[in-house]
Amino acid sequence: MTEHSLWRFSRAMLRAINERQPAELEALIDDDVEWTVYGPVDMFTFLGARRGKAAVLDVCRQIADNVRIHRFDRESIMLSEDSAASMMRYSLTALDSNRPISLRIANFAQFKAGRLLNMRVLIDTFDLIEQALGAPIHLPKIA
Amino acid sequence: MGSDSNKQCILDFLQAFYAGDAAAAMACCDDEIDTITYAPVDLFPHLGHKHGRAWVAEAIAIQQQRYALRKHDVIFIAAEDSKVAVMTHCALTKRNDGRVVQFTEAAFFTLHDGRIAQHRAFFDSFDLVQQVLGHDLADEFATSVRGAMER
Repeated sequence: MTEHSLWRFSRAMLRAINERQPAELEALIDDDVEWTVYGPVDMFTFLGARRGKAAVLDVCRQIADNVRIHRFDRESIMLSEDSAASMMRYSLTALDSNRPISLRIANFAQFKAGRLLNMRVLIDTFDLIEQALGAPIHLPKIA
Repeated sequence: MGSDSNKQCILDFLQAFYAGDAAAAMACCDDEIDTITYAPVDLFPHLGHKHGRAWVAEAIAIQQQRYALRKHDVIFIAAEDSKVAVMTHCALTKRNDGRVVQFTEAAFFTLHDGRIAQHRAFFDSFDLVQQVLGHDLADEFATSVRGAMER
């Protein structure tokens, strides 16, 4: 049984971020990849949309410059032939501040011939910003 | 139940939810549905952790109270065994000022006997908070966040 593309991609991504070894990842990304991580780009420059392998590798390098992944738990995963959806729980450290960050992330990925063609990522960004600030953001109550 | 019928159940649920058909949406759910939508509950009291399918009717009622039009578009769906994941683009027109808030939501469902037993969802919540409040918060917090990340 052939290993699903998601597993190869996940291992390569982890290696690119934690060990700064992007070679495996580079081989698993389509030249015309579309990549979107929904979130405030003013605060986190590695969020937002990218197109093309070079741009995606560059953003992965930016992520590696900012965080280290300590642990991830797969909470829900669905695999089909050329696509995958997953909900993951990540424990990270912000490298500059050494601040721990815990994130739940949804990934929706499409692959072509084993290479990543499209990736959309959703994060509970309000929670991310509160963790980065280290304090709650007070909002008005709406009944 | 197969993946295809589970997938159809989720599509039916979303269609009924955004059409405001509480009975049809509730019919897709297990009596003991457990749901968590990760979002600030001060602003979104119908979200957060809820239990039981009465939540569905309450959530629809709150959204209908606040929004005149509610539209959804499923842009990605995947199913495997009893699990279904969807990415949905939503557009809600506010009643008080007519502005449209738009967001993309990720939702993960687990079905039991063909009905939704577990629901987990989240979205770019900071962006949605800004849209609902009607003003930009990024400027207010961008410097603080960048500073905090570097401390």
